[in-house]
Amino acid sequence: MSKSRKVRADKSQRKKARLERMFKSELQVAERAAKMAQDSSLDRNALAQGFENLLREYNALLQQAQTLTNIGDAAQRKLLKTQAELERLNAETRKLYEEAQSERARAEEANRLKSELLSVVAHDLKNPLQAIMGFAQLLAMKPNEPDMVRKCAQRIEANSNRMLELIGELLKSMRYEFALRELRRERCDIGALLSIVAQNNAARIALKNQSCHLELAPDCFALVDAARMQEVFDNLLSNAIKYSPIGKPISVLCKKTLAETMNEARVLVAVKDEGQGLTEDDKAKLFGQFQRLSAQPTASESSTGLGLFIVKQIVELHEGKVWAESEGRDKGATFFVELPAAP
Amino acid sequence: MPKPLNIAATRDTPAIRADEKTGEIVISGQSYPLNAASVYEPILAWIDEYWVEDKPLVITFHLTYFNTSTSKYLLNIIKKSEMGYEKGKSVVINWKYDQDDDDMLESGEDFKEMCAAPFNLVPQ
Repeated sequence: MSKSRKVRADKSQRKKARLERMFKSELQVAERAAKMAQDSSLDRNALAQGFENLLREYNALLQQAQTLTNIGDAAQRKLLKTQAELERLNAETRKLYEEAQSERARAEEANRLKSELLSVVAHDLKNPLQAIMGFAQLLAMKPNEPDMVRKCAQRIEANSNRMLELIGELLKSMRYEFALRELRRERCDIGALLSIVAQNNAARIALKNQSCHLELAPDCFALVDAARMQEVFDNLLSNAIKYSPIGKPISVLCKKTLAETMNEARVLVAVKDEGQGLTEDDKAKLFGQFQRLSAQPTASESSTGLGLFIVKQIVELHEGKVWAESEGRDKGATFFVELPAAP
Repeated sequence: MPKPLNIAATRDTPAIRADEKTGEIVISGQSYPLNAASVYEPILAWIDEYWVEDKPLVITFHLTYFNTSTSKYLLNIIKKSEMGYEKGKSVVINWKYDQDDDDMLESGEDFKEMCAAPFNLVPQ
């Protein structure tokens, strides 16, 4: 006999012995029944009496077997309950772990963005500062040449403005990162807000000999922080002015729509220009922080690369959506903002 | 006189205490051993030895989980006690269960139904 077969045989023997001990009383009943069956000396009455005794014992054992089956089921039920509870706790632990992981990933990403921001800011501030230093040195060298002094002063002012604007936008963008809890939302007529924005920009539009066509449907209400949303529209209209050639028209549209997926009313704002348009690469980078696009301001206006990033932050804080469409380079662009409508 | 039993609980076997002076057997904890005979046969043998004299016996079960082999041995212990009771010995069986443990209560009720000796269901 091979070793493993012997081990199996021993194990089976032990199991049999264990069961025999466990079911000793049942085996005794069976033994008595066997003896009675083989005992030829028993007469009819003794057989009947013996049979009756056996039947009684059999019934008692049957009842025991039923009880044990019931008890076994209760134990299994308890085990399954414990298992389900364990699985629930396990899932809860796993969820907590995943939340902690994603929280950590978010913190790391925020940290990475902050470092990236610092290096970009340092770089962006360095260029105008170097220009300012250069013109200041030139001023010191040629204080008696009025033309040169004027030119240097203008350049210093322009570069200082550029730095100031950059710092301002930077502060704004940082503020918006924490603005979620600060929104003061109220029911606001988006069309009226767009009219104000258009009026505020009228001088700049006139300066570039552009025109601004407004098509504002009535009753386009949304729950927004009016000051923040005004900045959004101001940013979009400023961009349209900045990147449109002199003399080209700009149009601003506002209407109510229904969201495609859920039957919810939305307010759609579109700012359309006939400017330099967007390449596919531009579209991908459009709403990122400090992104430079292929288009350039048409009248040497400054650009920080933060405007659309801020726009996206604010719109998303309002559960809205912002996106841009363009058929390509020099084909103009339309920027859309979609907000949940308020009744 | 039988020697006292004092067996500590393990992961799959209950704590067992049998004291011939007080006449009390206490079985508590979880019971799902591979070899239930090795855990419970000593208790059956202890009762046989204890009842050489006519003395009262109190058996207290406080189990939180047990497997099928264990349940057969619990029944064997209960049946042995019942036989003593039917022969005129004093026997009390206490089935303790945690108050919110319906399954253990139900098992206790089933055992009680099978037993002619006094059988108390004791919530904890």
